[in-house]
Amino acid sequence: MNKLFLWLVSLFNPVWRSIGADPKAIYLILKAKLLMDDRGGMMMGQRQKRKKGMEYMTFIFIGIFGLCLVGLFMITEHYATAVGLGFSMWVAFIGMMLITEMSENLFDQRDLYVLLSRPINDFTLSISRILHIAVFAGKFGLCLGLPTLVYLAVFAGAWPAFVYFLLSILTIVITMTGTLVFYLLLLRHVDSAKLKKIVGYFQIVATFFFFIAYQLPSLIGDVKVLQNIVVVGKPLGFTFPGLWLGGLYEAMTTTTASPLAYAQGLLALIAAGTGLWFYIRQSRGYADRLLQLRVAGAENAAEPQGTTSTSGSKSPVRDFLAGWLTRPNQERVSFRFHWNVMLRDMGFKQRTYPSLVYLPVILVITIFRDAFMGEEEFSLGDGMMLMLLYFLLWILLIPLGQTKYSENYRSSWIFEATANPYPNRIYYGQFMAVLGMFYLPMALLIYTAVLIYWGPSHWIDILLAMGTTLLFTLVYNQTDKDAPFSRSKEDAKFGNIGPFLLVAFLGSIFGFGHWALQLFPYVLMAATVVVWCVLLGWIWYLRRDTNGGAAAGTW
Amino acid sequence: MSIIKISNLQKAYGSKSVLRGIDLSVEAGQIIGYIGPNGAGKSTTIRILAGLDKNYTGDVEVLGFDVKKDPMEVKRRIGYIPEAAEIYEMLTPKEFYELVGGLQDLPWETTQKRASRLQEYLDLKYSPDQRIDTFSKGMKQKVLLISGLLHDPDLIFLDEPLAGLDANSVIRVKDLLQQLTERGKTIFYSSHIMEVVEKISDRIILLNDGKIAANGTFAEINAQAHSGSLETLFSQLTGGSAARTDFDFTADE
Repeated sequence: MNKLFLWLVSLFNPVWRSIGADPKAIYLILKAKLLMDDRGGMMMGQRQKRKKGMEYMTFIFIGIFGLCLVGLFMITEHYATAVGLGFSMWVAFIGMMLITEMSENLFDQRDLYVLLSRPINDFTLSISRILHIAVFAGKFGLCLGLPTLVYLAVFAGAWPAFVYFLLSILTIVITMTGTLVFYLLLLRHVDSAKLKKIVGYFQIVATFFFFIAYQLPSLIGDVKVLQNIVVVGKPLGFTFPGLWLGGLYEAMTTTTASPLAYAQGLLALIAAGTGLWFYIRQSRGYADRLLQLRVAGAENAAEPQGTTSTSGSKSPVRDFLAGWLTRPNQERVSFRFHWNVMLRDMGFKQRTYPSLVYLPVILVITIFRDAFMGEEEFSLGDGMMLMLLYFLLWILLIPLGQTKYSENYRSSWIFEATANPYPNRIYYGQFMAVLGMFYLPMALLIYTAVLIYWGPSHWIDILLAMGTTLLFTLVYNQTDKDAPFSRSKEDAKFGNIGPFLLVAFLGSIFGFGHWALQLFPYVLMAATVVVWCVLLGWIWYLRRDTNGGAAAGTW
Repeated sequence: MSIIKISNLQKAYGSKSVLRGIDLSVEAGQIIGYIGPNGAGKSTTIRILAGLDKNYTGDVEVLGFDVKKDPMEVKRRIGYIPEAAEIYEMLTPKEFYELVGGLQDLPWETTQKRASRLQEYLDLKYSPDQRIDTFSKGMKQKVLLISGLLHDPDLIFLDEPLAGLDANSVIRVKDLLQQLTERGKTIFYSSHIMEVVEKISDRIILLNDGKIAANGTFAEINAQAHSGSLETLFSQLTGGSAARTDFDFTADE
């Protein structure tokens, strides 16, 4: 697939040349980057295995989602509206993917000295970066768009299908430039030392908004409302970039397009053109700024410094929880180590925090949807309570999954090279650190809310949900064993998918099972006792003083 | 007493043979200079000796333990400082020592005391909450060295330990290594800096093309080759030839 994208990129060589970039250098840089994407990193002389399976599975899921978008053509006969709504989903989905997975590539400084010591200008550098990101977005676009493309080719003809293909590229351009131009602006105007932090927090906030946009259609509830809906060519069609593309589709495929549709189409072209122009304009000085970013806060302390903004060590909350949850052996070492890294590693935050945003959004939308639609009075039943209780599984699994990945995965050689006879204590400390940092604050909030809103009689539900959540998180941690922060961040691109699917599956199973248990007297109590016995047994197993035949020192 | 015993050690990466039957025995209390050209298999040998690579054939015993069968016993007693090793730079040195000391099952007080003494000896200074990511290359290398010595290992494997250190620090580290051997420790030292290897090593092992090409004190090896310096000796034994004087890499253009 890389060859196909490289060929597509080379088709635009005159364009790259016209804006002052070197097409040959772009081709070479992009080729090298794509090659590196496909390869795992080295650690202790061994090559890490790439988790290709997960990547393919992700593309299959996106393909299935793309297939669902064909359903829009069943709902409305107005093809331009279906295309516009489909592209609106694209913008939200690809925008979210770019922010969570790829935006840091724009700030990648690892190859900077190699590239900057060659005659490569800012435009070549920044265009090769955005094209690298475009290939990633293109793969998603291909999976999302192929079903609709086939549908249009069969039912609307070759020309509409070709227009759809062109508009797909335009959608990616609009989404990419819309997202990345902001980063370039930051790069130009924000102090290098603060930039990474600001980008990190922007990612979290932007993901939140993209995800809300992505979830908005679910507020509609009944799809019948959409029956024969026409948005494109109407004033509502100006509200979201995806709908502008619908306008362009109508303008290019029919002779009866309304002036508003033409205006929306024009808006799409202007958005793409302006985005590209602005991106290229902001590229001036890109290399210098990246260089400053590399220098900021690194390798500049030949002499001891009096004060430093990147201070560590002091954390009363960490120390209190460590003392409370762990024993003073490898458990505590692991707890404190995980706590420190989770708190300081921006890569961890960028991968974890946006993912944590998803479920609260779904929860809020689910809770308020009916009231919002005016279908019924606002009320919360027992089902919602269980959903809330099992939502905490998400809060544990996502960060725990991410404690296995790191940009500095090579540093984990220390776990291989040292003689730790109790690897389980490291897992225990890891689990407790995640529990202390993410689960405890949220659990306090949710359990208090449940006790207040649904009543104290639901303490048994809380106890069972808590036990089940903790138990299955331990099971997950045991089945996906590895030394802490020992996997390449490249493999983390789809690292949340596994826990996501697990949570989606287990959450519904547990919730349903829990609800079913409520129907029988005393069974809930018995289940709680069983779950807690297994949980405490498991914890005892992890914490025991002998390693009990565990493969000591092996991860 | 031999603390390292290697018999017919062979190792291959796929079809490429890296170590081709190494036999070696090392006595305690020495500094062993382990040298060889790039790709000769030095780091691979050290990884095997440190219990980090089990995919080899032959017999390897370290401190009386078979490294394949008892890697934990070996790791408990050795210190391993790999070449250009990355460390968790978002931690402070104290936090990093806590991790390494903890993994070696050392009491925190002992870790702290030893780290503090070693830091003082190596002249490593920083503010209490300063993270490693603000350190210079030399400071990071010192942190790495200290972390490898915390549990007072009997046998220390050092792969290019002087990389990034300034002249004063090199002197300190060399002194430290001498003092460690005086306390009965054994240093297995791999480096490309021939001058240092020549000066500090009690014994030199030269690896070439996966085999031992020379093994003995500098005087013993030099007596065979009459080369004068380890650098020339190295070149002679590893097939290095003098540079052509008429070389021009753009000649045919």
